[in-house]
Amino acid sequence: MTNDKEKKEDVRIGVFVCSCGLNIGGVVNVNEVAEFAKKLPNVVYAKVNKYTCSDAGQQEIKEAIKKYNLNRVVVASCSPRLHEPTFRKTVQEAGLNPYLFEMANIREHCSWVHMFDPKAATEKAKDAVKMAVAKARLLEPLGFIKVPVKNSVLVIGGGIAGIRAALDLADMGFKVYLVEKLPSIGGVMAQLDKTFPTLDCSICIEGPLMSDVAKHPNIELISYAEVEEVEGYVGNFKVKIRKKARYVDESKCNGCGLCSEVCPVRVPNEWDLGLGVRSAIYKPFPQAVPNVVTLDKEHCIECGFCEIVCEKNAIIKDDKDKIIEVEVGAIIVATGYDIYDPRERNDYHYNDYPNVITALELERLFNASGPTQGHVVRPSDGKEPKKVAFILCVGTRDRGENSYCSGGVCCTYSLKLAVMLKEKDPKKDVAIFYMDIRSIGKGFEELYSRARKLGIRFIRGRPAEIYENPDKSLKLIYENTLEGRVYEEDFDLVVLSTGMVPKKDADKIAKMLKLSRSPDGFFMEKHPKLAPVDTATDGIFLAGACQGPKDIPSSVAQARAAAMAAANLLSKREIVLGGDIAEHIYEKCIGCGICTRVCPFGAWKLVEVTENGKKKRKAKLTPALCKGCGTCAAECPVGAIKMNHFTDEQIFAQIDAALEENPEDKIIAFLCNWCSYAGADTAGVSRLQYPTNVRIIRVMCSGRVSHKFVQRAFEKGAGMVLVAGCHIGDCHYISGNIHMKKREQKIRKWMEQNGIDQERFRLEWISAAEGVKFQQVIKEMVEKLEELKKKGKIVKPVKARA
Amino acid sequence: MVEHFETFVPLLKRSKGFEELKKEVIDQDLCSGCGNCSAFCKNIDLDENSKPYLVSDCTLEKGSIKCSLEGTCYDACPMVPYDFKKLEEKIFGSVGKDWIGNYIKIVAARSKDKRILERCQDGGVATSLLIAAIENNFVNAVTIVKGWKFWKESVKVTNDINEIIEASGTKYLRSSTPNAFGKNLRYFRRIAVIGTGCQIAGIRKFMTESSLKNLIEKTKESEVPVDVYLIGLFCYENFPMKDFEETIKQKYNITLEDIKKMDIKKGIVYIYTKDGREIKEKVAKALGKVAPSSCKLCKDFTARLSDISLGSVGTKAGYTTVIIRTKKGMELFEKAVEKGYIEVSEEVNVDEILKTAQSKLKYYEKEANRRKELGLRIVENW
Repeated sequence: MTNDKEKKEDVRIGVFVCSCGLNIGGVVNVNEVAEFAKKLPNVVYAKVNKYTCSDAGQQEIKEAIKKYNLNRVVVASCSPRLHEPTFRKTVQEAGLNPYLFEMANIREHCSWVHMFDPKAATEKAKDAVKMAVAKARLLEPLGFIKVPVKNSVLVIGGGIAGIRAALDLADMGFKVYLVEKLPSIGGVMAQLDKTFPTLDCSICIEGPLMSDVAKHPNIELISYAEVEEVEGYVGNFKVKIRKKARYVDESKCNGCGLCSEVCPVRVPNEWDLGLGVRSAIYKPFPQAVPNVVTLDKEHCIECGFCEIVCEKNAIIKDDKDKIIEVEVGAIIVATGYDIYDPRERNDYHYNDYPNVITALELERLFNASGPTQGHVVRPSDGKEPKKVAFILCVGTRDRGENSYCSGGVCCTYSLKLAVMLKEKDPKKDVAIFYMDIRSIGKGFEELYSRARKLGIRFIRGRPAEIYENPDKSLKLIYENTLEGRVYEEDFDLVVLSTGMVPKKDADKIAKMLKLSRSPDGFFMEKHPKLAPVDTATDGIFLAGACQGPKDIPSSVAQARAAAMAAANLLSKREIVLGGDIAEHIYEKCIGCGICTRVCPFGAWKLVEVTENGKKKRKAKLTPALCKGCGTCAAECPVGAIKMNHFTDEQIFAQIDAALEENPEDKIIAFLCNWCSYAGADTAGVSRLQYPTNVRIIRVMCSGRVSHKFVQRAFEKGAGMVLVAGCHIGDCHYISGNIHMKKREQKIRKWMEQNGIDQERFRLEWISAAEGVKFQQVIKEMVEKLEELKKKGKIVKPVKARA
Repeated sequence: MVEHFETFVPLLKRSKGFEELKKEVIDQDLCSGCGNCSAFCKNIDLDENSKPYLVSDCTLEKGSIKCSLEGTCYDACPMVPYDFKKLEEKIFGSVGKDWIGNYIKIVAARSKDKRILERCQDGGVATSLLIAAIENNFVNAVTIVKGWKFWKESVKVTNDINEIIEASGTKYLRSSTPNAFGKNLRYFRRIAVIGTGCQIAGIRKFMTESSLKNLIEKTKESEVPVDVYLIGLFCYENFPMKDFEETIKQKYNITLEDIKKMDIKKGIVYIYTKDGREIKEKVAKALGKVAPSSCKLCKDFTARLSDISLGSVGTKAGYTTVIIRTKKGMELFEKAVEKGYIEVSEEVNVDEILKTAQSKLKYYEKEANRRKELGLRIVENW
C-alpha cells in the first residue's frame, strides 16, 4: 500500500487535448476539457493543440515532458488504432517509457458521432479524459523482450508467388527453404498457355525463374513435401517438413524420362486436369522443376521396367516419407488457391455434358504440351468447335457460398482465351456471357478493345438453362438483359469461367500457423491497407492468391513485398518484442493449467517444479509467444496472471472513473481492439450518430473481459454493460471471443443472484466494418435503458446495495 | 484436322485389365496356369493350382486408364482371343506348314555331361543348353524348376550351374516359370526361359507386341540390353499342382515329395517313387480328371513360338528332339555343340512328332464339343 501511495504521489501527468482542426473542436469544447483535465488528480499540465499529431504538436509534448517533468502523458484525440504508435514514439523520444502513454478517443468515439449535441459530447469527452488519466495514473513502464533472429526463411508453396519471394530473399543472401506439395514447382501459372494481357507464353516466362530456383545456391527446394508442424515464434520458428516418398533418388535422376516411356501404365494427368495422360512414373510436365520423375505408388504395378531402363539406378523401391527439420526466422505463406470445381454443384451440367469444360481445361487444350498438343477440340468427338460460349462468374459472385468476385481474373482470362480462339480462326463464333466485365489493370482495357474489334460477342446475362442436343452440342437459354429478350442458341463448346477459391487444405495451414481467415476463406492479412502482406502472427507473411484472388502481376508484387517484409525482419540480429503481454505471479499459481488450455498460442506450459522437497506443478510462460490478448488473465481463478498494460487495477480505475457521476445513465462498453473498437471507429468515420451514454473501455480481446469487470461496473451503478468482440471465427487471437462467450453464463448467473435485470447486459459480435451495427446496438441499449429506468430496474447488485 | 488423340482422355478407351481376363479366361475355365499374367504385376498372385487372383486392386480400378495395350496381364495371356498364326508370320515371315511350325533345323541331341545324364528325362539337352547359354554369355540367368513342389518353392531364376543341374528332369506340374522370369528380369536383364507352349506363346506375344517389346527396344543401346531366349518344351498336357497332389494321394497314396521321377509316354504315365514303387497306368485313367480344359484346347504341342523347342517325341531313348527355329536359337545351339556341351545325331522321326501333334487335335475337338454344349468359350488361337 505504501508503495502504491508513493507511486501516486510521484505521478505527474500531462494531458494534451487535440482539436483536430474542427474535427473535434467543432463539436467538443476542447478548452473546457483541458480545464477539466487540469483539476484531475496527478495532472500537472494540460493543453489544447490544434493538431497534436503534427510535428509541432509532438514537439509541444516533448517540450512539456521536459519542462514539467512529466512522467505520464495522455493525449485526447483520435483513435489509438490510428496514432497510439505515433505518440508512443514521441514520448519515447522525450525519454519516457512508451508504455507510460494513454489515449482518450474523443474524435471517432465522440465528436464525430455526437455532432448535434456539443454539450453532451463535451461531457463525454471529459469522462474519456478522466478515464484515461485514471488509467495513466497506474501505468507502469514495461520492458521489451529481445529475441535473436534466425537468418533463414521458409517459403510454403512453389507457385509464382513462392518462386518470386524465394528468389528475392535468396538473392539478398538469406537461406531459403522452399517447400512445394506437388512434384514440381510452378503452380497454376505453369498450367496456363498464355498470360494476359499481353498473351505471352506462360511457361516461357515462368520456366527460367523455375530453373533459377533449382540452381540458386541459397535455395533448398523441398518438393513433394508438406509442412507438418510449426513451433516457436518470430525469428525462431522450428519447422517439421514431411518429404513424401518419391521412390526416386532426386540426386541421381536426370529427368531423361525413359522410365515414363517404358512404364505400361497410363493415368489421367492431374496437371492436365485429367484430360491428358501420364505414366505411373512421371514428370507432370516437360519443364518440371526439380527435373526428376516421381513414382506414383498407387497406380504402379511394379513391373520393374523403370528399374531396368534407368541407367542411373535412381529408383528407390522401398522409399519412405522423411521428416526434415529446419529452423527459420520468418515464414512466407504462398500456398495459392484452387480453381472453383463445378463438379460440386454440377454447374451448367458440367458433370453430365462432355462439351461443358472449364477455362483452365481450355487452357490445357491450347497448350502445345497439353493433352491435344495444342488443338482445341470438343471432348465428345475430338472435332474443332465452331461456336464457343464463355459463361463468366461460375462459382463466384454467387449469393450462396462464394459471394466475392475473383478480382477480375476470370473476366480477363476469358477475354484472353476468347481472343486466342478468334485470332487462331477468325471464322469462329465466340460469345462471352457476362454480368459485368471487370477487367481492370494495366493493358487490360486494350485487351478488351482487341476482343471487341475481333468481333467477339459480349452478351450481358447469365444463361439460365443448358440442354444437350443429340449431336452433343449445347443449347443455351439466356436473357440478353440489355435487350430484355430471351434467346435460345446452340454452341459446340461451353466454357465455364470459374473463379478462384481458397485451397482445400487452407484450414490445415491456418491451424498450423495460427492464421485467421477472412469470410471468403482466404488468409487474412494483418491490415487490409497498411499491412497487406503481414499476418496477425509476427514473422509470418502472405504472398499471392492464398490471401485473396489475384492475377500474376499482383501475386508477384505481393511476393516481392512479402520478401521485403521478411528481409526487414531477417536482417536484424535480434528483434524487440513489446512488453504489453502476460506476466506470471509465481507465488499465486496453483498449477491448475487453465491458462495452458485457453492460450491459443501455446505460450503457457505446465512444468513440474520441486519446492521444499515437494513436487508441484506450475505454469510457465514463454514471453515471445504471448500476443497479449489477456484471456489467460481473465480465466486464471487465483489472479496469478497479470496482463500488463491492461491490468485489473487499470481497468477497474477506468470503470470507476467513468461511473463517478450519473452512473445509471451510462453504458460501460468493453470493446476488443481489433473488431468492435474498430467498428466503433468505423461508426465515427461514417459519422453514424448515436446517444452519448456509452463509455468505452478498450481491451485487446473480448477474452480479456473478466467477469470481475462486469461485476465492478454494476457495483458502481452502471446502467448497462456491453461486451463486444470479433465474430466467432474471426478472433484476432483465434479463440478469445469463444472464451468470452463461455463466460457469459457465469456473468448472467451472478446477475440473477444479485437482482440485476438480464437485459442490462449484452454480448455482441461487431466486426471492424460494422459501424452500423455498433450504432444500432447503442441505440437499442439506450432505449432499453430508458425503459428499464422507468420500471425502476436500474439498481445496484444486492451485495453492493448493502 | 486431327481426328484422334492418343493422349486425350475423353476420347481414350480404357484398356482391358484383370476384370476382362477374369471374365474371358479364368471364369471360363480356360486358364492354363502359365503364370504370364502375374509376371509383371504386383496386384496378381497365383494360387496352388497356378490360377491367378487379385491380391490388391487392379490399377485400372484405381483410376488408371491404360495398362499396356489391353492390360499387362491380358496382353501376356495365351488364352485370350488372339491369332497366334499372325504372330508366327510376324516373327518367321510365314505361318508354319504343319504343327511342327517354322524351323531352321531339326536334330536329335544329347548332353555330354554325366551329371546331367544321370538325372535328365531324355537327352539332357535342356539343362545343357541352359548352362551353355550362361557360360557363353548369351544370358545372365535361366529359369529352372526344382523338384516336385508348389511352384513358389520350385520355380527359380538362377545363374548357379549346380542348381541348374539339380533341377534336371521334367516336372509335369504347372510351374509358373514366366512369373519368376518377370519378377527377376530387373535383376538379370538377359534370361533364358524354358517353358511349355502356352508359356512361350504368352511371353512371345508380350515381347513382340506389348510393353516388353518397348522395354527391349529402349534398352538396345544400354550396357546390358534386355534379352530373352525362349526354349520351348513339347507339351501334351500339364497338371495343376493342388489337384494333382490330391489325386495321387487318393489314388496311389503317394505325396509329391515321394516322387522321384515321372514320365508320360504314348498315353501311359509312369511314376517312380523314392522308395522304389512304380506306378504305370493310362494317363486318361490316372489323371484324366486333373487334366485342365485349357490343355485339351491347346493345339501347340511343339511350342511354335520358341527360339528352340525340345522334346522326347521323335527320337530314340536317351536323346532329345531339338527344333531350332530362330537365328538366335541357332547361334546358341551351335555354340553348345562347338563347346562340347552336347552331341548331335541326325536321326529324327518327324512323322512321330506330327502324329502326336495331330492326336492333340482330336483331344481338342472333343473338348470343344463338350464346351459348346456348356456354352463356354472355345479358344481358337491357332
